[in-house]
Amino acid sequence: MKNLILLFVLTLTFGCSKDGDSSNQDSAEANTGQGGSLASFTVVGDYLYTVDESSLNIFNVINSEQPVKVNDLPIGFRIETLFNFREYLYIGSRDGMFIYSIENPEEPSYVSDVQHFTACDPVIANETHAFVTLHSNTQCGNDINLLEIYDINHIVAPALVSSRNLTSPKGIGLYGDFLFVCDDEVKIFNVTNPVESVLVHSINKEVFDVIIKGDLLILIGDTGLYQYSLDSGNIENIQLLSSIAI
Amino acid sequence: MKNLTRFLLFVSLILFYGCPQQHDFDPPVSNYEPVVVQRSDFENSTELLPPRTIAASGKIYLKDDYLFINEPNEGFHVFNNEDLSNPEKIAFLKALGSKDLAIKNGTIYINNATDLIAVRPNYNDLSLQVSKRIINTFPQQISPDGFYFDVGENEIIVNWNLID
Repeated sequence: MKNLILLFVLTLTFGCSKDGDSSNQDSAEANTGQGGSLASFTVVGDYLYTVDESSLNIFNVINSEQPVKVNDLPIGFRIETLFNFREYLYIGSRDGMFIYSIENPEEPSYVSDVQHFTACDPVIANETHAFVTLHSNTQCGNDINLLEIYDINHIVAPALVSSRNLTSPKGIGLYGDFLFVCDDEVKIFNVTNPVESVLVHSINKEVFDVIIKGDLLILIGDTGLYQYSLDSGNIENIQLLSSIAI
Repeated sequence: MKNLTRFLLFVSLILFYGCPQQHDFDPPVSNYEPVVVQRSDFENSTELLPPRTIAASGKIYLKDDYLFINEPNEGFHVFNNEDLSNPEKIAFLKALGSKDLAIKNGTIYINNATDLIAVRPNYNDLSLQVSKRIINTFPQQISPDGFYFDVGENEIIVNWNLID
């Protein structure tokens, strides 16, 4: 019986993942902007999703000037970040990562979660993997600073495929097969094989979040914002365009 | 019985070692005090101002040629980023208690402390139209060290001061 239910859920999940793709991304890209990985607001199509300390809030923004709150869902405690990829929301909290389906945009439904006993910061994802940084200091006795990569092909049961120690990782961003991680400096990993991520380059800046849009890289830290151009043909060719002192 | 004893021991271990702060016998208190604003003043405090110095940085957002840098709990520094080699600071969008925004078309959604607001800025004459305010849709802020504070019905926590 249990297997039957699982099969049913799987069929539902994978059945939709093909339909939702293109329209979702395209319409979202066209008229909304882009935040960093620490964002707690995201617009997907005609809906604004936000997370606060404990809940996911859903606003209908069909009329963009007149948002209407349509739903809120309790998720957990100390919710921090919200990331959308295709028909899923990835929610980062101090306790772990939660995945919700927004196939029905006003009624997000729980898909799966991964729990940690420590601080867990942002999560981002692509078609096959979710990337999470865990950053903690003395707050609860732990001193865990990790980059974790989960295989989400089977999205109802994310599987940890890689875990590597870092210094103090925070914001993360994907540039094709390259993962940018804001650590004690910005570390760039080739994640073509997510089981064995390889450090290929670094940028000597201590920052806490990143936006990557096309070939534009934006870094934000306590003392400045920095913009760079990236080169997909040569990941080491990173040119500083401008900086804003803070 | 043996299992129960083990279980209790396990629970006690978690209770005692889980969080070192709880070893203290004094009840824990926050090192911060809230900055509280009356709702009537709060709702009139959201405006578009000339650019100003960035005192602290928070989240960032990019929409077309505009780049936003949040100054936590104060508002958003707005840059014209058309020339990537020379972003130009054009305005400060004051929004008390704010940490995040998102944009659809020309409308900006902001967590204005407990409220969600929808605003449309005009950078030419530095005017701001608040087209919608959904009050008390977000919880009051928790202090940076994780404490809840009770405030009156028409009072809003917009920031925190470290107690000396």
